[in-house]
Amino acid sequence: MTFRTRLLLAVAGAVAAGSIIGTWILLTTTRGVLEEQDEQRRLTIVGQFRREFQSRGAEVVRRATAIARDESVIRIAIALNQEEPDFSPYFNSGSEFARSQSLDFVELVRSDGRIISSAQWPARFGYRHPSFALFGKMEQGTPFLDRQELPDGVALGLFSLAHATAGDQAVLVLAGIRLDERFLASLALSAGMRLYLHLEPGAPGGEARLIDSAGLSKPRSYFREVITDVRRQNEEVVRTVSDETGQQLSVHALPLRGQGEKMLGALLVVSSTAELARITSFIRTAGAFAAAGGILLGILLGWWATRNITRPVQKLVSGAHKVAGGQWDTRVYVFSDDEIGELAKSFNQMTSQLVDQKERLVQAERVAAWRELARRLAHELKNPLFPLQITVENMQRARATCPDDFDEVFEESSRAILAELANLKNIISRFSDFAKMPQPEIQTVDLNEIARELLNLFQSQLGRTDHPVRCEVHLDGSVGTIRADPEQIRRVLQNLVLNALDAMPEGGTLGLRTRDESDGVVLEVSDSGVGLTEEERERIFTPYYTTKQHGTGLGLAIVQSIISDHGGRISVESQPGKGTTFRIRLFRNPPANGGNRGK
Amino acid sequence: MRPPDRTSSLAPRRSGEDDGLSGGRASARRRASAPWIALCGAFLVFLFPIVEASSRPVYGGKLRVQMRSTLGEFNPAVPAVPGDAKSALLPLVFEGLVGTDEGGTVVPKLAVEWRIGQGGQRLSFRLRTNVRFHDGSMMNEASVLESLRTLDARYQMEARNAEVVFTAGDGSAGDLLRQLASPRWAVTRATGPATAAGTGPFSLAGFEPGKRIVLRAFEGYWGGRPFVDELEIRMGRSERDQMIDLQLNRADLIDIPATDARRVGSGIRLPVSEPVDLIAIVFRNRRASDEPLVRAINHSVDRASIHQIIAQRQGSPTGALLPQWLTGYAFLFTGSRDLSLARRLSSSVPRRTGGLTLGYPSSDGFLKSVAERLTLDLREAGLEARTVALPAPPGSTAPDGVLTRIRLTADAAGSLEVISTLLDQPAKLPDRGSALDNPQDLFEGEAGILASWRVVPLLHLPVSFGLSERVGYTRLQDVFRFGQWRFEDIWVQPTPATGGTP
Repeated sequence: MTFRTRLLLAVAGAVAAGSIIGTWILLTTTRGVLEEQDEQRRLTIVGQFRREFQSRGAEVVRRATAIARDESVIRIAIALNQEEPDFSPYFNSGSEFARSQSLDFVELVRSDGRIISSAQWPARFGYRHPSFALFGKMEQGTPFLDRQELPDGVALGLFSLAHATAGDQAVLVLAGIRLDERFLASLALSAGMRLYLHLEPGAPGGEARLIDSAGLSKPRSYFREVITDVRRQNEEVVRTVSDETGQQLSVHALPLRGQGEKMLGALLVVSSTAELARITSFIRTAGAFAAAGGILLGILLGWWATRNITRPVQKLVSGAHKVAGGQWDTRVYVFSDDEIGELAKSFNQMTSQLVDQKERLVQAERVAAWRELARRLAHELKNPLFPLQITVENMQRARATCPDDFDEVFEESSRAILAELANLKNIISRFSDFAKMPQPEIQTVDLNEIARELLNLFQSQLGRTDHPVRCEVHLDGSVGTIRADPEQIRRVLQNLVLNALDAMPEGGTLGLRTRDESDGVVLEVSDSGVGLTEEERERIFTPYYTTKQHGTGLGLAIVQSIISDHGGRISVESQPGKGTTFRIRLFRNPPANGGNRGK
Repeated sequence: MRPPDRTSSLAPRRSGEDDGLSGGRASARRRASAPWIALCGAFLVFLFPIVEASSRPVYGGKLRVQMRSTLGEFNPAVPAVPGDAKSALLPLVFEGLVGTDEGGTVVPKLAVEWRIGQGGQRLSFRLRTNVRFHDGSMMNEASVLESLRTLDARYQMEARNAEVVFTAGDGSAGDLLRQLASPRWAVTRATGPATAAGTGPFSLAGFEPGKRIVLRAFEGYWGGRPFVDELEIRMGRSERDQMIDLQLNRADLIDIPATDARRVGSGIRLPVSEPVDLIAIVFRNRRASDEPLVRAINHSVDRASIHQIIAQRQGSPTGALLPQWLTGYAFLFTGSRDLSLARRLSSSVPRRTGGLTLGYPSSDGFLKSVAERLTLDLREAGLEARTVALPAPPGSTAPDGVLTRIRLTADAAGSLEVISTLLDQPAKLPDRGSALDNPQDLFEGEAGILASWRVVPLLHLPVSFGLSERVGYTRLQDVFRFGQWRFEDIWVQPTPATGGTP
């Protein structure tokens, strides 16, 4: 992973983390505020219900009293004093009172508990009122909750009891309003809130009923636990439940108690967390979008920033690569005053110094080479010059001291001078050959054949009896022909074999091997001589460097020059005391420029 | 056992096997009764002064009628329930070859006489002459055949020798005569894609489904035009609205349940019919094993309380199908409560899940109160029951028993036939003629139906009407006695109405 990528990821991650943390803080704060508001709204509804309950209770008391004071009820009470009263005229009285007083329940009951007229269940006339036993315990003018049996089930009502007395008889007026969907609908609700009226079963084994503002509601099992808690504690409870869709609901349950504190039902104020979930979801979504946008922006900004930051670094990296590739004069152009700018300046300073040092080194090496050349020339020329000087001085001395013998001395000295001059000429010729290495004349060459010819040429030296050299030849028949200059290749082999023989003055093993490879051939010449030190190995191809006492130091330099002109490679493996192996790799199709001549 | 003051009919009695004999007998009977007719005519002339001066027949005016029920259509081809408003109103516009009088006897209408022949397989009718349809065209054999041909494929119809002849493909044509008296077999003439002209005393001048029917007197009626020029019937009016309109002189005749008759103000004329409605629990889907249950129900019902309180002492509690005034033996079928017997019977009945269900027509408040009372009575006998308003929602199971109001006629045997048909209970019913002559057959027929325990009679109730001071009718022909709406026999005084139709 590049530095730019890492930097980019770091910036984007920082932005995303900031967005997530911000969203989380916003979510937590909002949720807390909304939950507090939700609780306040539930409490408001409960308070509204209590006020409405009291208000309607007072209204029921007033209307029940009004019915009891009605003249027709007084007439019924008077009729009750007759021996065999006819109740048929009063069959609809309850319904008429209920209609006129806007009541849901009106029942006229005799002193013995038998119903004279019932608005909610007209057919119940003549039957004993099921709650008559409780009538005596009830205080007139006080509203109370009671359960009312109806033809289609059980209802919960807010009742009041009043009396109309005439003579020995009295008519009990039981009037009430129904706590049902209309009552629930009259309560103002906030959005997301619902009201339910839970009615306890009318009889053991009966079914509880649930009413909402639209009427009888289907049973909702998730209220069961809340109802159980209210029933057990007989006081308000607040619970959170999950509905069938998994939505969280906050339920505030208020028990509705009848006579003897018996729980007859419960008011359930339910607030859906849907709004909370919606806002939470909105914030979460907005946070996600903000995070995504932040990340995108972070990536863009990070890309821009890292681009500006890493571009000088990349220049530095590129410059370093160039320096590593040998372009020591590489310069990095960074125009900033920060650390990267300092680094670039240092880099440029470093490469400048490197170039200077290289030039100085080349200069020094050039001077050293000239000195070496001068030393070699001096060394090479000094050896013939000294005998020349001695011979000439000997001739001068012989002419002066022994004129008779001068001719003889002159004759001998001339021969010696000519021999030394030939030697000088030979030395100069070798230097001249190195300086004038000819272009290779490429043609098809059988490398194995050249190797065999060369071995034949050196057969006499190999076979010397004092220090014999054993020859190990492995010429791969699959090598075939290559494109090369046969004379130069022959000269290469000759130089390497001569070097090998020189390295084994006490005899040894000369190895000559050829090997076919996919794109060329390999030629190896090895000896079992004294080997080379590491320094010698590094400088072995340097011109005029030699380890031999009478060598010119140009043999291996010429070999390297020829191989290079053929586009090949030469390498040496050697350890002191373990011999030396020269390995030449020649390509079947040498490069068009023929090598690195002139470089 | 014959109903008191039963109007003699001029209709030919259904005869035995001899071809052409019935018409001859009828003619002989008419000739023999001619002196009696003259005597009766004199009697009528004698009685005429007892008709109040203000009630003397007057032609013209509009009779404004209101009723609780509603009609969605006024097509005679669509079957009507016997006793309902449609079957009462259709004969005012559409007539068949024969009809029934208030006693349920088949009487001539568009046919003046008929003969039964070919071993009872052929029924020949001689048409009345000078009968016009409401569009002015004359009725003849061809128009009768055109109107009736498609009604029942069992009968082959043809015009032969100035008669319309019905021939049954197989079996007897005996049932055809009573079928022809129903409104469905009215003779009509198509006047449009969905309209038809009848031959009745009124022509249809306007119909708003569920709201209003306007009938206009037909000047060319073969029986003489009715008294009123126009008849306006407003439907779906509540009792309260009807009472208000009557008292504000916006209505002349209203439909008041007899059970509310006592509550109506004293200033309203309130003719009450004989108890012609049978209130009963009908168990159409009863299984044989349910007999103890039905018997328990029969003995648990407190009919006296229902009669005294819910029915406001109108009619009478009963254990019989036909009322006492019609048969004279209804008291023999007791309907008294026997709670201990009911409990014993109910204890032998397997308990049902959800209890017994009693259905009632949701439009009938009286039946609803009775059904609710029954649930209380049954509870005392150890039977759990609940009420179900009908028609029940789709998909719900049919109730075990249904509180039903059955309109009876003065034709006792015919009424039994109606009940038997309603129960899907084939019963050995007496012939109408023999029922009059031999009440034993009638009694046995009724007892047979009751013994099936498919029906539990509760009450016989009258029907009542509220009349404004404008309405007149002759007391000799008490048009309201059998609960029928015989508007052709009613007139209105020319007192200007204070309110019109809104």
